Amino acid sequence: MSHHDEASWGPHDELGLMIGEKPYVKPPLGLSRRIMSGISPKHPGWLRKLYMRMTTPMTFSLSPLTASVAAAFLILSGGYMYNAIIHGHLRSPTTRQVSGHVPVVFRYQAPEARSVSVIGTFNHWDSKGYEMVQGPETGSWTIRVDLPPGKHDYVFLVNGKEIAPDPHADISKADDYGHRNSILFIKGNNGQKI
Amino acid sequence: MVKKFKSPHRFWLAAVWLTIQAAAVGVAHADLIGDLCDANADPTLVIESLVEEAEATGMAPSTLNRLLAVGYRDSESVVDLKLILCTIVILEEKGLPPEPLFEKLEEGLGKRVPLKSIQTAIIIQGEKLQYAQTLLAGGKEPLADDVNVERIADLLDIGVSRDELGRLFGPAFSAPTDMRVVAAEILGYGTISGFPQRELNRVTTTGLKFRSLTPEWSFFIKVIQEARTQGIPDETTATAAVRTLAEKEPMEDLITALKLERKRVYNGTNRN
Repeated sequence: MSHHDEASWGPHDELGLMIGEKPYVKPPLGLSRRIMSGISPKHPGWLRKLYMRMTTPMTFSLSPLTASVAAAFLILSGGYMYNAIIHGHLRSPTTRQVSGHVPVVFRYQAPEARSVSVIGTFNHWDSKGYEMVQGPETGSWTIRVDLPPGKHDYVFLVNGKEIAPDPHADISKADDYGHRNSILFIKGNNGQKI
Repeated sequence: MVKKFKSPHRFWLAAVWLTIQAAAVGVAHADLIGDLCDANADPTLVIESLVEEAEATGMAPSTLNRLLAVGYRDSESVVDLKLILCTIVILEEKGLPPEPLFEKLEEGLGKRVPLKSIQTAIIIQGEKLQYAQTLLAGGKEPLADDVNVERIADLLDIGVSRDELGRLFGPAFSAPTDMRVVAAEILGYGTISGFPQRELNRVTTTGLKFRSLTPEWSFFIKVIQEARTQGIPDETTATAAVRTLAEKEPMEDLITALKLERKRVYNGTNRN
């Protein structure tokens, strides 16, 4: 395809002959550029580009050394994740590490129990999400909860119905329901009230 | 929109009219609650209105749902459900802080206690709150000091006598209310942990006299516990505390004086 610049455009060109012997009219400035930009191929958006890249098959070339490093990284990170899940570090609510809160591990020895939860003022006495996990060797039930500074009343709910105060708590009080609540104090650094 | 009154006379007329209207609304509301909580009112017909009234007191939807789930188990529990809702609404109407009432309700639900017993516990809690409110008001109109009311009511639970509280909040001391509450907490938690009464009286009296019982002293019980773990006699702890309070020093100085590990006092728990 031949290109003409606007200055050489005239009645003797092929186009001029095709449209007859009409008098020559100089085209408006920038017409050629506008037409070309209209027919030039459109650039796809970044989303489309990403889609195209993700759906196009690719070939990777790895040296044995690079492959070993990558494999070691995958094994280590997988192991960390497995360990974290097994030991409860990533389980709700134990992952709720809020600034200023203090991690507390509740432990209750009841090897024969089918389930144990901790309920108290910190969870509105609702056992949902506060089920404790039994250790396979000791038979004791544990859970880690991040608590804000202050005074917390709590008990253990055994088998979903029996109330048991913490035998290791230093302080307990009557609860008006015929049981005793254990009391836990957590002091922050800012002199919070109980 | 701002309404301008041409004469003070009209302003006072408007003020009186608004007061009468407000009083009428209050009386009408009290009447409504009276009707809803009437012993002859059919629970199944009034529960919906009572739920709305309970929501208006600030009861969380989650708590309400837990209560309704238990209350609708059978026809007998619906009667108790009505009684619980009425008790909370009426106590809140009397000007008591509703949060401790909700907490007592949640505690009962969490412990799978029968609804009838929960209602009784809420009434007892209401009575403690009313006493605390009267104590803090000191013969005047009760102020909106819900936090301290709750703390005093809590102290009754752990066995601080009303006589003891009357002494701490009486004319013998001129310390601010917050400090008196801290003194009561030291006394209460110290007593149930077996700290000698005489030493507790020394500590609280010094703190109130020198007005040095800042909020952190509420955690004096943690110092007592940690000092005992380290084998320090209670008398030594009390003497060091009295000296710290008399010099108006922070509790941090007491921890240093007793050579305790700060981290264990602040965050350490016996559950770890």
